[in-house]
Amino acid sequence: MIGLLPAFVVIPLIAAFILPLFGKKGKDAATILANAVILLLLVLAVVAVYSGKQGIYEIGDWSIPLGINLVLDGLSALMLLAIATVATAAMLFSARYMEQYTAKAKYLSLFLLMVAGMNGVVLSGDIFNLFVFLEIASLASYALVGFGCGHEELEASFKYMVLGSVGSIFILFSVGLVYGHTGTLNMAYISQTIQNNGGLNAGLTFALALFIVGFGLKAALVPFHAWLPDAHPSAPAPISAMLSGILIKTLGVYALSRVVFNIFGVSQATGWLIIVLGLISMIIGAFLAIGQEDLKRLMAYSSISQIGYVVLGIGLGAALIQKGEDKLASLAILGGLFHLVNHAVYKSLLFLNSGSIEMATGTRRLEQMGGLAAKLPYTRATCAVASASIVGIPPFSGFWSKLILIIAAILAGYYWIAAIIVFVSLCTLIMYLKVHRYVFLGQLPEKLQNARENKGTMLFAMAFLACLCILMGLLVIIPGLKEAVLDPAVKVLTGGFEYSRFVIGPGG
Amino acid sequence: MPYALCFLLFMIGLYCAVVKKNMVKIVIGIMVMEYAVNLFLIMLGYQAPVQLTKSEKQLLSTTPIAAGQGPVVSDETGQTEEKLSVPSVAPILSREDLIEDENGQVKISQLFRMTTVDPLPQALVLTAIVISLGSLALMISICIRTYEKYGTFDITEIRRLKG
Repeated sequence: MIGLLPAFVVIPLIAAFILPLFGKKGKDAATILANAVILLLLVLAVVAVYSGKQGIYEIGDWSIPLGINLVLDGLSALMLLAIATVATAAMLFSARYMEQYTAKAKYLSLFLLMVAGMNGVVLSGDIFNLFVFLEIASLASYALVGFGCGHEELEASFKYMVLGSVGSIFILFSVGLVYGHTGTLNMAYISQTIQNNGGLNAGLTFALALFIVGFGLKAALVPFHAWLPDAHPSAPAPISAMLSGILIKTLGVYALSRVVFNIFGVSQATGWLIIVLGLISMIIGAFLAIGQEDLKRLMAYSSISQIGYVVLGIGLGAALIQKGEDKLASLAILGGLFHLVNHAVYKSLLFLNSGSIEMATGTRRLEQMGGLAAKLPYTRATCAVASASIVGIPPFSGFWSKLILIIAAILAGYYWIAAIIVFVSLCTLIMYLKVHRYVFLGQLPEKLQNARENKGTMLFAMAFLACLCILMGLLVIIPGLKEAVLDPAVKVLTGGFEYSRFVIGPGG
Repeated sequence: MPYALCFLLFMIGLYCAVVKKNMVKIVIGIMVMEYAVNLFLIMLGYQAPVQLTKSEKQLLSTTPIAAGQGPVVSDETGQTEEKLSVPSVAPILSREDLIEDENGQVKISQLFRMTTVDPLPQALVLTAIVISLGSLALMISICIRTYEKYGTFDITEIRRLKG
């Protein structure tokens, strides 16, 4: 398995550069090739999680710290699986949906570049390499947001690009600072140097602050969220699903937690900073979402609110580790990571639903829709499942992750955090009741009499994700699954500096 | 002091990107920030010039990379002819070979480290420049397409998205 690690980056990268050669005539062949590549990645990711193998791969046989390494541990494996799952559904959906646009082969190529970049971010064990992969994924996503080349797409893409570039520059700046203070770029060796020095000095603290701002911009946490409500609705629906579902988590939350937990080490201050960022995102995202009249814009604001839950869980974990309550910390991190995976599934499903609705009706305005329940029965059913999940109605996946978060908050004695979690869930309920009320119930407008549901791959993609939404709860109920899938990822974060000992080895 | 100037440049770029209303000026601001960071990275590897003695210069002038047969070096007394067993492949990177011969080898490596700049930041800057070139091209093309649609570069007039 470890020998196959470069395949996660290399295969989509090669395919991305072959695809544009197909041109207009070979559109179907290009679609099949892209789908095959993504399916292969899904199989590889399942194998990576299932085998439970962990290890490092040294590129070109240059031993670390001279060479660059790829690291597969529990957290990376979980993220790889999440990326591959969402990408599979979005790719299947695009097979039919992207027929509305020209230059489909180029779209597929950018899509695969984005996946290659994200896989690279998740696997990289070198901090500069992480930045390079992050830029690959970001640049592909800037281009994909503006793919329609309409008025709104270009405006959103420019806004996203400016803020995204500022975030990237902050990250590069702090990579430079870290190199200046530790003399190495390998994440494990940076962490070892910090441990040997007995903590952070002023320069490294500044670097950590820059990292939090940079990754916060990528994750769209609330003070830095301005680009997300424009960028996510303007992109084509499968890309919205990718961006909201997984891109903000890989580039933002994953990278942030890797840097904070494994490289710099947690402290009370960073933990609480992350908790506060998470809480503000939850509340403001939810309030802004309720007022929206645009279907996809509402979902985008709801993404900000949901990413707050993930960050809250992780921040709570950081603060609790520092207090020495390891059990509670792993519970909070488990809640955060489980919510991350759940949100990846149901939010991408919701965005695919919105794509299906937009394709059938030609509009995203809520007030122009109504009574579509009879016209789009399958979209309605899957959308109901996803909404129930995101709100947190018991058998569905979102319930379990929120429950774990609430239990962790209560056991740690932070009753007000638990209250806020419940309150934001109620706001989420309001916004998705609004979606159902305006889109599927009520009077069918004259214009939409001819609305038709798209069958085939689009339906299959939505059904796939809806099944996952229902089944994901099993991950924590069935005893063996949690130990196999979620616990290794939680251990990576609670272990903290164990990461450097794992990578360098006992002799290092 | 140079670091402060570098930070100042960064702040000028940030100010430009945040305050200016013209899309092209925003792009320029971002690029100024990018260059400030590149400058910062280059300065990390900067090494102040060192005064070398004549023999040290001679020692260094036989570059360790031109391997194969060991270069002949004579020290101040002019008596010793010392063959340096320089490894033929990637000599600087394989530490075992450097330690093997104490007299000449270690001296060369220490001298080399004393008189050369750190090459890693330069490699980083090269990569960062390529990345920023890519993002610059994309940004400018988006600016051009936006101009075609809206007929202006002023972001206060390009405001369809809000809420």
